[in-house]
Amino acid sequence: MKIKRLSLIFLSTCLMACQPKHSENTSSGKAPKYVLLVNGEKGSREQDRMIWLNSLDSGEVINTSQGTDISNTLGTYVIIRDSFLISLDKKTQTLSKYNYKEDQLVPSGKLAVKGFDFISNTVDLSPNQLYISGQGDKDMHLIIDPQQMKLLKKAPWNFPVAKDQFRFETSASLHEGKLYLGYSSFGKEFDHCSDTSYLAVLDYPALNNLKITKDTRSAFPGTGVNGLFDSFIDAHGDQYLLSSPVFYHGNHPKAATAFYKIAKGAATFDQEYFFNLSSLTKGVHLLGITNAGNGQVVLVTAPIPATGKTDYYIADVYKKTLKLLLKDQQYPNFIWGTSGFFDGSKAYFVVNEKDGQAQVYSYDAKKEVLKKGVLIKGSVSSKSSYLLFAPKI
Amino acid sequence: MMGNKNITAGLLEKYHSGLCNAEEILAVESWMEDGEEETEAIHSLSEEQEIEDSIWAAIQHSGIAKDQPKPGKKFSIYHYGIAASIFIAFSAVFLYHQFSGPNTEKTFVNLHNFGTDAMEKNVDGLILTALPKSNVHAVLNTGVYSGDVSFCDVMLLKNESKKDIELKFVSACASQTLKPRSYTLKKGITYVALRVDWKSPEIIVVDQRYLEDLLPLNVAMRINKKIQSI
Repeated sequence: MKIKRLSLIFLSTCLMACQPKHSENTSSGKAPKYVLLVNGEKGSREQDRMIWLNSLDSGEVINTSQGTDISNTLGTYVIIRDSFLISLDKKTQTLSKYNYKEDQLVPSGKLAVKGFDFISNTVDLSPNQLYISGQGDKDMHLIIDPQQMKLLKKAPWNFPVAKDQFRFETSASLHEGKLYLGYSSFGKEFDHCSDTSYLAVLDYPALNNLKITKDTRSAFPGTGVNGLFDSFIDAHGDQYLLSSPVFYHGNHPKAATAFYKIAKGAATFDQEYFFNLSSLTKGVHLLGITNAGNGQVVLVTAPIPATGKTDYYIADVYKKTLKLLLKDQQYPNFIWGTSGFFDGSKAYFVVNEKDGQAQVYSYDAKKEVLKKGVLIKGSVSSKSSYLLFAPKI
Repeated sequence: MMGNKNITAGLLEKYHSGLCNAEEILAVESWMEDGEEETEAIHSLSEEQEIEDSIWAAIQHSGIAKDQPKPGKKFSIYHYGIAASIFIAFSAVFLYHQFSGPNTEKTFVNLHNFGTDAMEKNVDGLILTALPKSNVHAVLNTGVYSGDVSFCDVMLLKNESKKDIELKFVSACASQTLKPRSYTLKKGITYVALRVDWKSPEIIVVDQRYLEDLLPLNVAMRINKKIQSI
């Protein structure tokens, strides 16, 4: 399998040619289109900021002086949607909803979810039904009305796993009237995940007609952590699901990071398709950052053993190729989710460069061009993480 | 001949800027053309261990309950004079309290938990919790909000006192000698202290709410399940 590194010439040339220029990104008269959420330091919520931006493609923002201080507002997990976000406070086991308004997060409802303190996946079942899966004292899923902040359902899935294993939901999606739930399992000590990838498919809205299949070509189908990229549905209606056996997630070193395919209308992993990414990186696992369109996905490696640094790649799930985007970068943090965002045309992602500086990059999959975008300065460091999105207000 | 290991971001930038010498150009172009490289299915166990070690090293530097700041600036004679005066004054106060006041009274905590429920001890608002099948030992200077703590595996610490508390975590379990680490526990916050023999080479102290920020999913899940079971 080839890693087509020749494209690196083109990409790198663009990188050097497209240096960012300062612009008043946050202070023009027109309504800003994008939001950058900054968690200043992982393990803390004391340096959080929300910055509204007119463009992600150029300019510079100062994390300490621009935007709104939202420290100690958002909890352990954040569910981002176009017109609101929902935060889970792990200590109080409460979901808090906020609307976006004039650079502010406006509280607009709370919902107690006793016994639920870990979000794995979320899916919009309908405008009034939000599926939230995760963990409390046991494997659990909720369906809530996010408009009214009402609990509609709270129950475990009783899907089969091996004896003495705990089910752990790794992915969830709704497509063509079916709810697709990927899952794995851990033993009592939560050391390594099972070597089996499970796929459960139910009809929606009835949530019946359950079908479960297994696959052992990779392990941990998805990430099982809220907000992290793990799948996309392409223009043909086919789903591509990224496994995550990396130390951080499934912790199954013998399994390869890989893309599974679920063909449109199918209820099983496609046995004819398997894209082994680890075999192209000499065994190093990868994490997904964002869908980039045209069957392409931005990924980052786990730390490379020799350097402790990470490399960014673009994967093409059709051609089964990996192209190097950035080499020897700092390992990113993904508090609240991956720092990637796809606006339907370009993919954006944030890379910590050094203390006081992080760089937004854009990747245009059609043109195969990587460019530098907004430069983030101020109180950011290798411990900072970011969310990018385009709210509708 | 340059090997693949020498193909750095800097060299690539130099290459694309037309600044490489002949050997560097050859190395970069060979590397870029080399599509059919060896493809090992997985990395070796030693490489996997290196990855784990590097991730844990990053985690060690990210504890929410901060390591106490280390002195870094150079002092002048003038500063040394002031420092000496302050030291003498504080020593006098310390000795006074040591021998006359109740504030430096030491409280010894020994929690040997062989059961399935949590075992906890509240010392002036600092609540120490030994999870099932674990031990916690502490010597607390209750009047001055400080002390030493040792434990095995995982423990909880809840600071419900009126001030931040500075604790020194000393070797937990006896499998190896660990360098003591001091942390400041902010009032009102519950912390998880952990040291997992087979994973973490050192003690980590983290705000319980943001455990998952710092720890691998499987380790966080294991600790969450332990806490939820009590």
